[in-house]
Amino acid sequence: MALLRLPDGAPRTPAIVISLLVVALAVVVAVAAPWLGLPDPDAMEAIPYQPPNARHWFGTDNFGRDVLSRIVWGTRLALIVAVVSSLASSILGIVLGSISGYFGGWVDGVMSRTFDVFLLIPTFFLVLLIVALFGQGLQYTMIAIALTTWPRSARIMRSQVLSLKSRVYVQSSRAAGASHPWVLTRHVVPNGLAPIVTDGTILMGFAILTEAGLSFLGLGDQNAVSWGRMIFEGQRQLRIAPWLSIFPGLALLLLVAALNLLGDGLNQAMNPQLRRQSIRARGKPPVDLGPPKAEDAGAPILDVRGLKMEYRLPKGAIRAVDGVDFTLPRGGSLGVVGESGCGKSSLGAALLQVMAPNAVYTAGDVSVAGRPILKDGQVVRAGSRDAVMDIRWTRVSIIFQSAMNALNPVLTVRQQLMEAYRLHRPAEDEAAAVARIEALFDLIGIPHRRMTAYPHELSGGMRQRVMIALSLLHEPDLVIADEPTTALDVLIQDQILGEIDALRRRLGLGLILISHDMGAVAETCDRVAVMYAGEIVEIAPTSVIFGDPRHPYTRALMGALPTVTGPKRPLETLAGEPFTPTGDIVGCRFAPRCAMATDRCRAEAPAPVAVAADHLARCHYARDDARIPA
Amino acid sequence: MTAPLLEAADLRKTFDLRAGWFSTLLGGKADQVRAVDGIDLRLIPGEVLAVVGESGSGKTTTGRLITLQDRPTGGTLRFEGRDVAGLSGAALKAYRRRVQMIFQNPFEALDPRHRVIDAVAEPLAIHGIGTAAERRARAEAALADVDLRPIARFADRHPADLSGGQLQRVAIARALILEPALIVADEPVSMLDVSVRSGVMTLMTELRRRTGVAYLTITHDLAVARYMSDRTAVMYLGAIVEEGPTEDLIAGAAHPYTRLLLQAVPEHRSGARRARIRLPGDAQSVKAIPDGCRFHPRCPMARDVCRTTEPPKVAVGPGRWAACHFAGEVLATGVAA
Repeated sequence: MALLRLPDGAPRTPAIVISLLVVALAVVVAVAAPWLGLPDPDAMEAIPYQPPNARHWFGTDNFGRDVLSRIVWGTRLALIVAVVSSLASSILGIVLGSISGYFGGWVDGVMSRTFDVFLLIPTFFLVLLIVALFGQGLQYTMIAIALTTWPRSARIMRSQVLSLKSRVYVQSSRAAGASHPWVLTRHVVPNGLAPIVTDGTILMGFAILTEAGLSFLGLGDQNAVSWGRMIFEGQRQLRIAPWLSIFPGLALLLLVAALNLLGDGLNQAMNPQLRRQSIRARGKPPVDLGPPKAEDAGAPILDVRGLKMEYRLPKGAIRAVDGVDFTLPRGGSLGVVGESGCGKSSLGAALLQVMAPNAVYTAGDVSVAGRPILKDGQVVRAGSRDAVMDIRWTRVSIIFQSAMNALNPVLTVRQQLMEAYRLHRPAEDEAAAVARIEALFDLIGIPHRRMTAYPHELSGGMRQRVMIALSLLHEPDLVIADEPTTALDVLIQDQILGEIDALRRRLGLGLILISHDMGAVAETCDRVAVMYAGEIVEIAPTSVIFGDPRHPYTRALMGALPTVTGPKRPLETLAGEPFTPTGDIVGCRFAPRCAMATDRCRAEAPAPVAVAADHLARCHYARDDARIPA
Repeated sequence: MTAPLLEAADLRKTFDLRAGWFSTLLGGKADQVRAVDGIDLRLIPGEVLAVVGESGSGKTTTGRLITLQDRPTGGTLRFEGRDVAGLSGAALKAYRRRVQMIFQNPFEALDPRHRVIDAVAEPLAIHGIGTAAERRARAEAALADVDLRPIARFADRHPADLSGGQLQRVAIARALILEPALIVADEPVSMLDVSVRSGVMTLMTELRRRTGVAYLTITHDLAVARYMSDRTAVMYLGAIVEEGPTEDLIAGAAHPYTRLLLQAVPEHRSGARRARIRLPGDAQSVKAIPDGCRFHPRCPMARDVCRTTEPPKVAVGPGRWAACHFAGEVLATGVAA
């Protein structure tokens, strides 16, 4: 099974375990049939029509043959049919499907039409034809099943190959000089096999059923012991000897159901997306603090204390946000920077309670303008409504990284803005909504005539500006922007950052800008928080962060940045790998990569050290000037 | 003068946009996209040329043409003096042994089912070099060259177990194992975090010093070009608009587009905010390349001549030129917005 590389812990769902057991039992029974000490399945030695008893557990049939023995031997036939015909079918499908998908063009055109034609031939019709031409026999049954089912595998394989052939590693192999057959057999086909394997188990079930059906009709192999034949023979005595057809029927049902279940289970296990959807973590219960307090005009727009949020994964919890504190005054701007995986995007999502289903809060308080929305890691509710609902989009809005794709493709930009506007303000008339939207378009610099465009008619930069408009629709006090310009070209990025900055100044908007781009943050934000392994390791006014960084990690980040101004200096490099906050953590999280780490760092986790009134750094030596290189 | 390793003259790539059957029925003609619109490139052995541009500039297509993943539709492409544009079969395979490629996304550049050591050794196997044991030994040496040590920790891992920076090092080892004369690197560090980016850039520079390989580095980031290249060519809508020694070009660009690109790079050093220049209009598309100077609809300095006449290459210094009617003026005084 190395071929499939089942992910750790994946196949242990009850469905897979039970179905695997049933299939394994069938295989063992089939292989061991001659040695089980059962009577000869064809020997007519016993008294006919015996109901199940101690000697013949499943009774005997009209010729005095032992039913249990016949079922056991029938398992052999069923499995041979299942394996041979589905293997033949899959191999034919894999070969033809991958050729069709890989070479494309007219080859694909001709071949995929051929698949369609074969799919239209009913199995039974083809079998009848083959039996009429060649006579009855197990091999003809299997050929007929394979001939009518292979287009299924071929179509699956074709679509797999169509997407796999443009993968970078396939191109990379071609660019290294590999031939088409090399690439196909080593990179394309092996990576496309997983769904064929899952479909193969379902195909096996189908093959067994088909064979049983044919035998039931008297078209199977006359000399073999087949479940279908047993059911056929038994149905004539259904009233006087029901066990004749019930037991083979049960065997058939059990094996086919197990194979189908196994197919579904494997599919689930090998498709991480399906698996992830099934993980839903349960956090602390919500807390009801009664009707919301009146807003406190003097309170900061956002106050975050000891916020902790973790992702629950099969292997354990990752503490993506692990004790974050900060305060954002009204109209203030904070940049959050750090490497991928440091928790900056998780922090953005956690602030407004828009996390993945497997994320939970474990501690912390968040309040917006003095009104709590999270208390002690518990979501604050008022009656049946989460407190965050009253402020999300209207008071605090969020622009996501992939926001460019968040627009509905079948509605015009104007329709979407109208809808969003009237959702929160149903009382206002259309004229007011139009006026507001037009004002917004002026603000973000898109001509009014473009309002009736569909999202696909706009460039990436335009769409991102529409998303900014959407986030400003209800005149929020705070915008959280997670990598708002990452996918855009430099010139457009510069314009959009400029727009956000100008809007902020004009509207007195608060801004949290989450970005990996130090330059973007430096130019747009008053304060910067540097995150590492779920913690803010340094937070200070922008000029201080860039001019006098006190945490070794911040300094390493600054030293690694290439620049286009000033003299060209050698770049510093940061050794090692980012730290994943999971399990028990001893010492400073940055110590394994820190050039200046001491024994104290490895033993004792540093608390935030106040370098100045508005400058904190999570380093034991943040105030030790002798240890800070000039 | 050193004999060039790679020489492209008036290189072109035109894609046909397939017109719908209905418009074909009505006599509509297929639209053409001039992705690469007549570029000249010259690279000597061991040199690093950066091709810088935004999306849609044709820089990635240029890389695909040089590695012959796409075939040019016009112009000539010569490698070590021989025309290679039409190579096929064994000659193409031999060319690919000499010209390797590094791709942008390290997370997708390696087959998820193959172990690291096999991925690195694969090019040797493709070209039938050595026995399995020899190939493994060479692959291990290559891993050591890219600082993936201890080798035992990485050799038998699968790509999913490695970080982006480690994966890109594996990709570099894989590209270098055939000892190519040229590596085309398409955005080799753009997907990497800042902290590992400098490590990979330094490594590539160091390997070039050690092996004498030439790089054609494709990037959207002028800062990356500055740290990785000797010369830079700036592309806009399928054409090179300016070319010159990287450090000179960054210190004082002679094409308004290059100037604007440089100004748009956010600066983290000085606390002062730059003055942002607002360009008229959005990015143009190669589907409709403007007449005259292709940059004129967005150029803050555009005058009448720019709308009608395609600018020639104006020499502005040793080994430097810019395709702008006012290159001398831009070089001297910058862009007057």
